Amino acid sequence: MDRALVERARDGDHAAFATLAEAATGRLYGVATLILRDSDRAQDAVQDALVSAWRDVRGLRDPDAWEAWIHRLVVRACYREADRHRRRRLLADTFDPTPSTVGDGSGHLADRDEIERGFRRLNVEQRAILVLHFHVGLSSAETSLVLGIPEGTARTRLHRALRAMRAALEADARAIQLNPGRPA
Amino acid sequence: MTATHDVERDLTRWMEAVAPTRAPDHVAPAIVARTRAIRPRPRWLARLLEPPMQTQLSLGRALGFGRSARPILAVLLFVALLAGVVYVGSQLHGQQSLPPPFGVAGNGLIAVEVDGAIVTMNPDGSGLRTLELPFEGVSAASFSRDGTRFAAWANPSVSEPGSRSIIVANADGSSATEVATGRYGLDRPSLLAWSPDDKRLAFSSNADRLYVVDIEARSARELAPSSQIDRRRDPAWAPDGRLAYRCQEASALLHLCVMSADLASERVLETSLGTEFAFQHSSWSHDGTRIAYYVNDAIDHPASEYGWDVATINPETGEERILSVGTPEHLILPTWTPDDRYIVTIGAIIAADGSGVRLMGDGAGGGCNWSEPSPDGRWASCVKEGSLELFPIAGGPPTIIETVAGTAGVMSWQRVGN
Repeated sequence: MDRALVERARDGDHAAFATLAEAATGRLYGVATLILRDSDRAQDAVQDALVSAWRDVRGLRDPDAWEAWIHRLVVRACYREADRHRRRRLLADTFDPTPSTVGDGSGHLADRDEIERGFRRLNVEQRAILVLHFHVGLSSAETSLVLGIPEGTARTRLHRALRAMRAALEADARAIQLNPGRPA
Repeated sequence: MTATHDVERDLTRWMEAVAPTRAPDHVAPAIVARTRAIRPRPRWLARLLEPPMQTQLSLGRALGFGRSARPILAVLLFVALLAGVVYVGSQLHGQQSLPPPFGVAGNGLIAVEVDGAIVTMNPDGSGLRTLELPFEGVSAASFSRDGTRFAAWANPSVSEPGSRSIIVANADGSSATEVATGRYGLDRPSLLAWSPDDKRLAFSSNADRLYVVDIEARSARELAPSSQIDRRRDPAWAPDGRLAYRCQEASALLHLCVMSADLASERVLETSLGTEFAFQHSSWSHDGTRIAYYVNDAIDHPASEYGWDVATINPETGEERILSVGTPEHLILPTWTPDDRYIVTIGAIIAADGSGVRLMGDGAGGGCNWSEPSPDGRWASCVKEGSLELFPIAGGPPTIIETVAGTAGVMSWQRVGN
């Protein structure tokens, strides 16, 4: 992140903002895709987040906070997208697998599918905190900053999200034992 | 796979595997094209609505109220004795009557914040005076309902990184004392709302947690009666001691909530949709029958632009009324006039019966950093850098008062007896 670019964007330089936005789009799209598990909605979330960033960039006090700030905006945009989707009653537990675009680093395909199913059972807040921690690599303190919550709350939520993930995997395993041959 | 697997490792690997590393080619150009057509919000509005990002990682850890400090207790005891003497003296000499806690009162001093200090002046701009307070970084002063004291945020008297103190002082700045200290956030903890009896202060932290401070006991406690609500922000007192505030469910949906007068239960009101900054800084009418707040302006703004309309609701009947349909300006941070006939927002005056909106100037918010009705209900203020504009609520040109360079942010108007 180029601090000078952020300062120029903050002064209203749209070209500087465009450079920042182009550099951030891929990373934010990865985060949004993981949280929402839907490519189209992830694109909408990233667009909303970066439009918000331009709209409010003059209020950014510390240029060094740019990265954390845009992650906060994309997480909030994901919350809104999930909410809109829930309102349309299309989100709940449906399977619309997002095609992976890179190689399989996890070993067995079956394991990946189980993780995918377990992850989809989490609510959007649980997904967000897991993505920020395990994918973006933020510490508890940084996660609390992005989510705007106390650090202790961030730790608690991470713990609960992991517990929910384990519970989802256990439920999935039980369902497969009871109904071999079909996904849980 | 079972739960005995290393879930953390598997999650990390799975995310690495399935997360795209680049967006489809059309996304970035679409964002650049969309933003090119949008003008960024002015700095004051962007910061006023919600801080985009805290700048210190050390915020939001465990709260720490009170500290063992015999000297402070001794000073407090002395102050209490002094206050007792002053009180008895004022009773004996039959001093001026105090205003009612709600409704129309007389116009007293105006307090504004200037570079971490509080400056007071008469409503005509005369008598400009910087209050001498034994605290630094003082901001967001708020006069008590009886006008005899004010509360404000300040740097703690004992250095405590990441903490802010709430101080209470007499209206002339004397007898300033800390009543609570905690990691409430440095950037923008909420305004301090005096209870109807002036014995308590309600506020919310940067992390959207709601607190009430007992001034005499110098103790603060968090208000969280329901586990269904994740966040609470910007409390406003009703005459009967209930609180209205913005609340957020775990699902991130925003609402307007009302807490009972015993602070033991809360309920979500059914309102129009509000996202992003909606429901911040709601205001309870002086007769206690309606709450003013703002929601998404779904008519005069496309969804991508996030405009806001001011609405009122009767919390008993649930009847909601949107007052500013047809007004494309952002109308935010509503406050009732003391006669409940108008609602003043940043840069606008709205008739409470829905009959019209009058803007205080051109552009977003009329260039006002803060707006507030006068205690007598005749004026609406517009705080600007170095000046204060007073608009007659009944109509007419503003009276412009020169203040001092560096004037910014919140102002408060002292209520006095007639």
